[in-house]
Amino acid sequence: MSGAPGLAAPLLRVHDLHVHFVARDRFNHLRTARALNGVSLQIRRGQIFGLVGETGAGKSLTAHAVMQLLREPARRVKGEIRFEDQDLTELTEDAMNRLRGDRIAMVVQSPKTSLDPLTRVGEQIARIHRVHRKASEPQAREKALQMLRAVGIPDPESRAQAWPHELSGGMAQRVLIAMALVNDAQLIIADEPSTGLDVTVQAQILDLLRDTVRTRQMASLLITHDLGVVAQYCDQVGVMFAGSLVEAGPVAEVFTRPRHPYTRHLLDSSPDRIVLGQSQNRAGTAPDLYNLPPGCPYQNRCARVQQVCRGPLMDLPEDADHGVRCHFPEAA
Amino acid sequence: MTMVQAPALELQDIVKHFPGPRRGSVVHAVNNVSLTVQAGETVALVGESGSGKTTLGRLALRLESPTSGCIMLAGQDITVLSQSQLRSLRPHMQMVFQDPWATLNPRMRIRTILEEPLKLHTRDNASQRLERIHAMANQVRLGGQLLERFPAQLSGGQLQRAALARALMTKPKLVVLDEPTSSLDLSVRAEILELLISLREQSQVSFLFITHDLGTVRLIAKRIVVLYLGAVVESGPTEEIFQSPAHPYTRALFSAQLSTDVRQRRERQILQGEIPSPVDLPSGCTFAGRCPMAQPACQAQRPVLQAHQHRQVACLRLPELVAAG
Amino acid sequence: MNSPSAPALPDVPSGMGQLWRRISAIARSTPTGSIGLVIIALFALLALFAPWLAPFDPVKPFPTSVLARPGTQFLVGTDGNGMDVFSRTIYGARYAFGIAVPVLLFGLVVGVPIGLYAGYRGGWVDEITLRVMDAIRVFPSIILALAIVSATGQSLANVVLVIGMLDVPVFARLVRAEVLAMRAGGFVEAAVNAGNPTWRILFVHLLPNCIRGAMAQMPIRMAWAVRVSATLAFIGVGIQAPTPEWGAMIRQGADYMISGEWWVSIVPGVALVTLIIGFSMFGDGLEELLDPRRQKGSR
Repeated sequence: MSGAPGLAAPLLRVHDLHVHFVARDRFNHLRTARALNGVSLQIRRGQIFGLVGETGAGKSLTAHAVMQLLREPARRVKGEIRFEDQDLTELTEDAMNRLRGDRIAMVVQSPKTSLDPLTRVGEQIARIHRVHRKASEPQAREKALQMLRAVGIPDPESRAQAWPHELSGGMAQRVLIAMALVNDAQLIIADEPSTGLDVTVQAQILDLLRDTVRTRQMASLLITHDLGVVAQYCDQVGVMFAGSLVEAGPVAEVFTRPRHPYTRHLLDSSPDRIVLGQSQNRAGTAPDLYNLPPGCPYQNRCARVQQVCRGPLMDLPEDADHGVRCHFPEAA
Repeated sequence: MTMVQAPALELQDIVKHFPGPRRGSVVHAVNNVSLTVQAGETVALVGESGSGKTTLGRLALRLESPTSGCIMLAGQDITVLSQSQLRSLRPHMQMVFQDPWATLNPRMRIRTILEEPLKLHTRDNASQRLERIHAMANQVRLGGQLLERFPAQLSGGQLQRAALARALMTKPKLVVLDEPTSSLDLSVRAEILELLISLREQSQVSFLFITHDLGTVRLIAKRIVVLYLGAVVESGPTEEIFQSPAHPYTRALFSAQLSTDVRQRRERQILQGEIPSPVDLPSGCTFAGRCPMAQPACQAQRPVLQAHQHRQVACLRLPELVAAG
Repeated sequence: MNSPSAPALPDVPSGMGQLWRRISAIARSTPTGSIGLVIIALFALLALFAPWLAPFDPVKPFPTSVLARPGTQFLVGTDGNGMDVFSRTIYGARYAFGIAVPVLLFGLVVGVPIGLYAGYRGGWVDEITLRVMDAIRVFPSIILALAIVSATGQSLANVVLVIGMLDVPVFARLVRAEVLAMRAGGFVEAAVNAGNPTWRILFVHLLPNCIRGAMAQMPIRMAWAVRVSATLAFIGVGIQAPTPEWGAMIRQGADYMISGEWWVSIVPGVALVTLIIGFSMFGDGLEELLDPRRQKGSR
C-alpha cells in the first residue's frame, strides 16, 4: 500500500510472493501446500507495518521469505522482494548473509531460546558488530554497551557479562533488539516480539520498538496475532488469511472501517470487542492449504459468498490507500 | 428455610514455598492467600508471571500440598488427604490445562478419553457410558466423527472443547481452568468462552478461571482476584474493578491492555523495571520497587487487605487512592 | 532460527482398501526394512514348516555317507556324523526363533514394567533401579552368560533365561527415557487428575506412548539373541551336538574346515549371518518408520 503518491520509494517492497510446500503424504504421494499466494506489501521509512492473521495464515512465512530463509520443503515459486531497491531473490547467499544482521534484522518470539546459551550476552552483541563491520574488539565491546543502554537495560556493564539463562524474558527480548540494532539495521522484522511476555513488560518492549523506528527513521514489519498491538503501535496493517493478504491499509482506516469480512470477524473476536451470543462467533474450519479452493480463500466461511467468488480473485491494487481483495467488500 | 450451600472452594491463608535454586533459598510462590468460590460462581484469578496463580490452581485441586493453610472443597477439608484418598474426590474437582495439545493422551481416541472418568468413577455399563459421552459431545459441539479421532487430528479449539468435556463428565463442583484460551486463535476464543458460559448455566458448576488476559475476564467472571508475587493485591466484583481499579498494580495492568480501538490511544502508565524474583522477596510491600505511588513507608510494612466499597485492596496508601479517585 | 515447517496434511479416511495402499507405501519407503522383513519371514516359514521342507530327519545319521560332498542325494552334504546338513540347517531355524522369541518376550515382560515404574516414580526407586540395570548391562555379556549357564546347567530354558535377563536393562532404559520425557507432558498429570490409579497410568497411558524406542530395538535384540546363543554353543556351552542348532553345527564343522569339508560349517554359518542381517535391516527400517519426525508431515 503506497499512501500518497510522490513519496519516497518504499524501503521494502514485496510483490506477488508465492511460496509452496512440497511434502509426501502417508501414501507417499507428493502434495503441494500453497502457503503464500500473491502477497504484496510496501513499507516506508519511519513506518511500522503490522501483519496479522491466525495460525497458518502465512505471517511468519512471509517474514522468513523476506529474509531469504526458506529451506526445503518450502520454496518461493514466484515473486519479487525489493529492499532498498535491490531484489533480494537475486542475491547470492554470501551477499544475503552480509545483509542479514546488518541492514535487515529479525527479532523473534521466545528470546531465551534464540540466544546462544554458551556465550555472554554482551559478547553476542559485540560479535555481530565485529563480523559485519570488521570492528576491533574494544570498539565492539563499547558498541555493545552502547546498545544495551539504548534498549534501556540498567547497569549495562554488569549485564553484559550475564548468560542468557540468567535474564528474564523481557531482558532477553531487549538484548535481541540490541543485537538487531547494533549495525544500524534499516529494517527490523519482529515476529511476535511481545507474545509470551508479561503484559506490563510487553508495553515496554513495544514502546522501545516504536521509539527506535521513529528516531532512526528505520522501518519495521511487526508480525502478531494481537490486534490490540497493531492498533496501538502500527501505522499500516495487512490482514492475512490462508496465505493471501486480504486487506491492507492505514491502521486507523482498516480498524474503524474494515472492508473484508475476515477483518471484521477478527476485530469482532478481539477480547475487548467480543459480544457473546452472536452466531458470528463461530470460528469455522481452518483452511486446508493443500486443497485451497479456486478463487477467494475465504469463500467457505463467508456469509456474502456468490458464484463469482469461486473465480479469479483480484490482486491488491498497488496504488490504493486502503485495498481489499474481495468481490463484495463493505462500503468504504 | 433455604439451605446455604457450602462454597465450592475455600482457600484459607495458603502459603506455598518451593525449594529454591541455591541451597537454603526458598521460592515464595504463594504468600497468605485466602480465596472463596461460591457454588455456581466464576472467579477469575489474574496475574503475570511469578504471581502464583498457576500454583494456586494446582493447590486448589491438591496437585500440590500447601506449606501451610487450609483447602476446603465443598465444605470438606482436603488439605492433608493422601493421593489415594483424593482419588475418590477427583470426580468433584477437575482441571482444564493451558496447552490442549499436551493434556490429551495422543494415543487415545477422543471417545476413550471421555469415557475414562466414567469408567473410573461410575458403575455405568458400556451403553450408559456411551450415552453420556454422546450427550456431552453434543453439548460441546464435538460432532460424532470427531469422537473417533485422535488428538493430533483435531484443531486447538476442538481439543480444548474435548478437554472441557472430559473435565465435566463426572459433573464436578469445581473446575479450575488454567489459561484455557491463551494458546488458541482469536476467533476460537469467543467460542470457548460462550461454551463455558452455557455449560455453567446448565450445571451450576463453579469455575476458577486463571488468566493474564483481562479482556476475557470481563466476559466470564463475576469476581476477580488480582495477584502479584504470590499475594492478593485487589479482589472484588469484576465490574467495579474494571470501572475504577484501585491498587496501583491493578491500574498498571489495566492500562497496559491494548485496545483495538485506534481512537483510544490512551495515556499509558508504563511500569518501570521487572517483576522481582520470588526467591528474595523484598520486605514490606512487594510492589514498592515499581510502584508509581511508593513512599518510604511502603518498604517497611507489608500491607494487608482492607475493605473498600465491595472489594478488598492491599495498599498502605489506600485512603489517598480513594480520595484521588 | 527455525525454518517454518510444512503445514499439516489433511486427514485421510481409513478402510481396508486404503490399508493395503498404506502398507505398500510404507514398504516402498523403506526398502531396507522391507527386505529385512522378507528375510525374517522366509526363515520363519522354514522354521514352521521344517518337517515338510527338510528332506531328511535332522538327527538321523547315515554312517555310510559321513562327510559326503554336496550332491544330488545330500544337497549340501553331510557332517561328521553322517547327518544331512541341509535338513539340519532348516531345523536350525526353529532353534533360532525358539530362542530369539522367548528371549524377547522375557526382556519385554520384565524390562518394560521396570522402566515404566522407575521413570514414573523417580527418586530413590529410580536411582536404585538404574544402578542395578547398569550393573547387568556393563558386564561383558558373553562372559556373564557363560558363567551362569555353566553353573546352572546346559538346557535351552537356562539359555533363554540368561540371555533374556541381559535384554532387560536395554528395554528398561529405553522405556524409562521415554517416560521421563513424557512425564512433563500434561496428559500424565491430567490422568492423575482424572483419578487414575498408578497401574493405569503406567500401562494404559504411559506404555503406548513410550514403547517406540523399545519397539525399534526389538528386531535388533532378536538378532543379538540369535548371535549370542550361537556363540555360546560354539564355545561349547548351552546347546550341544547332535541338536541341529547353527552355533553347535559351526563348532562341529570347524574341525573339518582345514581338511576341505567346508559345507559343514559354512552352510549353517551363512544361514546364521543371513537371519541376523535380516533382523538388523528390519530393525533399521522400523526405526526409520517410527521416527517421530516423520510423523509430523502427516495427520
